[in-house]
Amino acid sequence: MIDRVIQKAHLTEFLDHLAGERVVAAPVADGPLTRFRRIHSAAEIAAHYLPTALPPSKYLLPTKEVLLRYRYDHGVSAEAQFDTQEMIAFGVRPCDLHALALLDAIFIDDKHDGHYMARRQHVVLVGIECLSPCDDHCFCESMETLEVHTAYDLLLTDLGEAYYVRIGSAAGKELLKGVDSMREAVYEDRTRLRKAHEARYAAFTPRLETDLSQLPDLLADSSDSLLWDVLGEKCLSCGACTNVCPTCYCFDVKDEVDLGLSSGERYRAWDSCQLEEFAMVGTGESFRQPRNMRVKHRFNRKGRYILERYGMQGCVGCGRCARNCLVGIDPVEVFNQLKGQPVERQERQVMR
Amino acid sequence: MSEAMIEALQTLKRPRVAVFELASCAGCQLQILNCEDELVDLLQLIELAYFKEAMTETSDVYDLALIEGAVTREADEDKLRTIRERAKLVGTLGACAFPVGIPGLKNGHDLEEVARQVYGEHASYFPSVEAKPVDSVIKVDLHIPGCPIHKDEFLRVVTGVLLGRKPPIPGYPVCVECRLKENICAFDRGLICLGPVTRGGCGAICPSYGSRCFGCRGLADDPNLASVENLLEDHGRTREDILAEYALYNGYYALHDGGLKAKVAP
Repeated sequence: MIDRVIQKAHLTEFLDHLAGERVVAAPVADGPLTRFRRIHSAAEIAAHYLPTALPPSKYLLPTKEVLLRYRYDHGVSAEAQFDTQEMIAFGVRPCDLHALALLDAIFIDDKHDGHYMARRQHVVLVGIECLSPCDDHCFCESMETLEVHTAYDLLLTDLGEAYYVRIGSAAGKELLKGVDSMREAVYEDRTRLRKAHEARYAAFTPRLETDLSQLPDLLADSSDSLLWDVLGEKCLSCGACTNVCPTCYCFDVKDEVDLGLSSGERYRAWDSCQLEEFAMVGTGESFRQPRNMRVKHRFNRKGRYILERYGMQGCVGCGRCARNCLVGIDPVEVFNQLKGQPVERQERQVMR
Repeated sequence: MSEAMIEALQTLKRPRVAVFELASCAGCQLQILNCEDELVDLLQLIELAYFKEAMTETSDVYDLALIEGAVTREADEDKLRTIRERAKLVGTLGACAFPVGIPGLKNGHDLEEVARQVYGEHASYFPSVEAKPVDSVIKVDLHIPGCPIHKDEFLRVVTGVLLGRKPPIPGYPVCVECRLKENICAFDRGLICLGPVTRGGCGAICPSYGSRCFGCRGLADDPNLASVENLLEDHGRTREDILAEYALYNGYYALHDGGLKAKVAP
């Protein structure tokens, strides 16, 4: 579809109007944090922001979501629950768009998850490209997620006085109909876009010391690394890393019975492989009890297992886990330390 | 919960419930009475046998005993043993009963001096011993944690118990729910917080309202105490500060061998 150019003032007018008519969520600042929240005017949107506290995936896979309600007073009856609230998520970063593309691959293409699909159909994603790094923790450039070509309905790039707008879907095109004043992008605009993209790579420094394609092998070879023991001693198993991760999607399904004991609801809630109960079975046995094993599992999920299973990166380099870890566990440091310690690994193998 | 317990429960149609109080503020009992919208439904499920905070009638016949408060008198121990003999199931309500909490603040001090400060010249009328948790005297089947307990969690536990299910009390730390609420971390607000080692399930209520976690729900199932000690030291706290931190609610286990102290010590 033909790209567009919108003056910033016109976009603000449009967002003000849109937020008055429809449910619009955008990053809103609160001290050191930004959160995706419903807004009622464009002025509420944070101008510059780090990746939000929780990723926008919370709108597609809520932290707690009722799947069905049931009764068993006169026989058993159950009714599935689907959320079809229409909403627009504005200001989604490329890293989060990559993560949403992964969730789409898992919940739509692979699992045909009705609850996810019902939400996904009703959420319009308006992305904004990053032209400079958020902070020292982000490493999207290393994870090759700085550029994005999927998941968005609209993608905006800041050209100074205007936004360059790429249209990713019919829903995106439909949304643009509400903009009073915009024009089709011409050669000059595309040149400006290309220059902005070229300048971007000077601003983003590669942080990963291993080639991204080598990361799965590096992790596979590091199974016996002593680093996991070191990290296991530090890790608080507080689940901060997985809760803020845009590609984490593990959940637990539970039944809650009403006080009358004749009806209730089945819900799913975010779970974390970092918690002791995650791999616990009915007998009380946990298959991944030691903390170092849980930490190793998380990094393998991020750098290896998801890629092997879905062909997409399991880590999008947003840096949220590192930013939120109270004891400073940072994936870039972990991957780089694994890369730098093959000798230790060999010694350990010899000792056996 | 053991299989025997589940079996015992499933045979109960409308179990008789008794609520007892040891050294405490009665706040957890009040939380039960605060279930105003649910009390009628609750009383369809259970029959109250003994609940001094709520009713005049008393009875010694009950299936489930819920005990609020810490053991602070020798007589409390006999009382508990009698309750254990009479009840099929024993649960505790709140932080005083487990892991002791506020009544335990006197532990480690000269108990006679403490009694004199509180009761003055009449201190001898109130003989008192070191505060200890209910489960140090009798076997306890389940703990409903918190200071005070939360009424929703109380109701979830009651329905869970009646259905013969494991009481739905999380083993994970407070941080889990705090992050899901998108709170600004207490450590980023210049505070320290016991959220990383304290049992969750409270919805991180204190950090959500601008405070921080004091550990009222006791330790999580799997706390990394050594790492949290390093974290608190990185935030300028000494070992004494850290033990004082734990003392507010987890003091009993901080003072006793084999408990928190052993785990906290390097």
